[in-house]
Amino acid sequence: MNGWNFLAIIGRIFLAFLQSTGHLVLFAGQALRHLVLPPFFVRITVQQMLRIGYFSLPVVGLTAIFTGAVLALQIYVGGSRFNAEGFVAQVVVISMVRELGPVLAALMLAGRVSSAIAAEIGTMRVTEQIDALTTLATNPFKYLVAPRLIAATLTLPLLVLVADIIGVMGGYLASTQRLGMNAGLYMKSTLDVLEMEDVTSGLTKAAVFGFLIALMGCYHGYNSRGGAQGVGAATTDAVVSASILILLFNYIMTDFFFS
Amino acid sequence: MNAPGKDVPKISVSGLHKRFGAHQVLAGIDLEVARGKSLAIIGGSGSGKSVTIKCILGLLKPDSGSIRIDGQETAGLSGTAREQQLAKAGMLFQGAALFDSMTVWQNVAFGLIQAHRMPPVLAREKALAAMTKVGLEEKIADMNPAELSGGMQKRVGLARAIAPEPEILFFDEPTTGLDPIMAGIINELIIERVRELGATALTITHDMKSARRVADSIAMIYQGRIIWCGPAADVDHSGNPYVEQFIMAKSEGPIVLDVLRA
Repeated sequence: MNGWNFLAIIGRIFLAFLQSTGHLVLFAGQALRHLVLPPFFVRITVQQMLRIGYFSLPVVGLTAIFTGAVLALQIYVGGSRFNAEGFVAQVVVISMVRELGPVLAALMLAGRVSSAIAAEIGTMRVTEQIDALTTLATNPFKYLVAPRLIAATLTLPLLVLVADIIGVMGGYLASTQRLGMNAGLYMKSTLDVLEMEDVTSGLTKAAVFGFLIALMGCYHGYNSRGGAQGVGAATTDAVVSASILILLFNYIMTDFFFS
Repeated sequence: MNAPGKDVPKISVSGLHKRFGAHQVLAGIDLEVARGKSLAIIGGSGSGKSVTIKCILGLLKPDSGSIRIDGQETAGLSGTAREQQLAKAGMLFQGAALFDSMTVWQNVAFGLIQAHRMPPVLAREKALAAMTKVGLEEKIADMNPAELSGGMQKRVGLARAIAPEPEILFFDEPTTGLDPIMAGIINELIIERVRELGATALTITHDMKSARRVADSIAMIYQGRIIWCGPAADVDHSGNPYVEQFIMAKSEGPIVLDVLRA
């Protein structure tokens, strides 16, 4: 009998998962439809690009510079065990541009932006502001969701580009100032090994991550219920689900780019 | 489209059903509001008042039933057709539901700019005029809603509702949370503005003083059905035990409160 109960619990969890996935896919479909259909709220989209992009620069920049610096130190120490300490510049730039730049910037934005979107839209939901938008003949998907999706999708690649440059500079500073490497040689090694495909694959990842970050913020905020506690739960859910999806899609896209 | 005849009710609802999970909230609502008239729906908490108004506005999708505005079915409308119907209506929400990211005048002008495509400069003028009509001074136009008292926020909400000069006005608990003087002022503003616009009004409230003051007729909702409807003047001698218990605020009577839900 206990075995059947256990199976019933597994079944319920699985059905709840399918239901949530279905809701999310329908929400994403509706959001995509409103992305391409007028009217477009250009001013709000630009405002969101500033909020998401410009105001995230310090946190993304700090993350990138320390990651690049730590990477250089670790590769030097680890690489010295098999005489590969001379490859610090190459490993730093490829790691930052292909992997760490997009993923770390996206995870930082999941914490900063996805939570802010979920809290803002969630508060609007529980205070009936979204209902008020509708009664004023304004579609909340066009007014609230679409501008944030466009802004995050366009802005994160730009942020990642900045993070890549700052991350490489972090590696450069650690290598030249701490490890005593030659500055000119370091930069030459960096530029020699870097290929356009490394940059484009990283930026493509960033665009997808940006979309996921805004989607999770909007989805959980839009569906929040039950006052302050509901908004709090929506904020947490947005950050957690955005982070998990970033890591999942990072694997899927990396696998795709390799193949 | 031809203009609807004079005899066609402005709002007509029939057989409206709505269920949330196992809970049947609306179990066949039937009501009509004639053009230019004001109806108040009274009823206890959880009786289905808000769900009714949200279904009429299209904020909730009913499970079954018919909702007609000017004789046109609106229950299944979506997209532009629905937005055109919504442009006819204005709504004052219980908590005012002002956009906290905008200033007071931007809140009032929102419907004019978004739904009526009015240039912002002209919309600001219209917004200031609407604010004057609800007793708000121009000096608060550039303030944020959070800086205003509850009564002032209700006035801004009312100004936002009337600014586009809608044909229908919905009021969700317009006096809840206000002191008696401010509640009286809001009631008078509602009466004046509805009369001036010649609008049809639908108010949901459990404030009997407000219902008697603002409405031509009153309908009582209980367990998802309209159990009594008549002129506001008749509500005190309705002969309906449910209505009598409700308006006299008796704890004993046929109405059984769902304490767990309340």
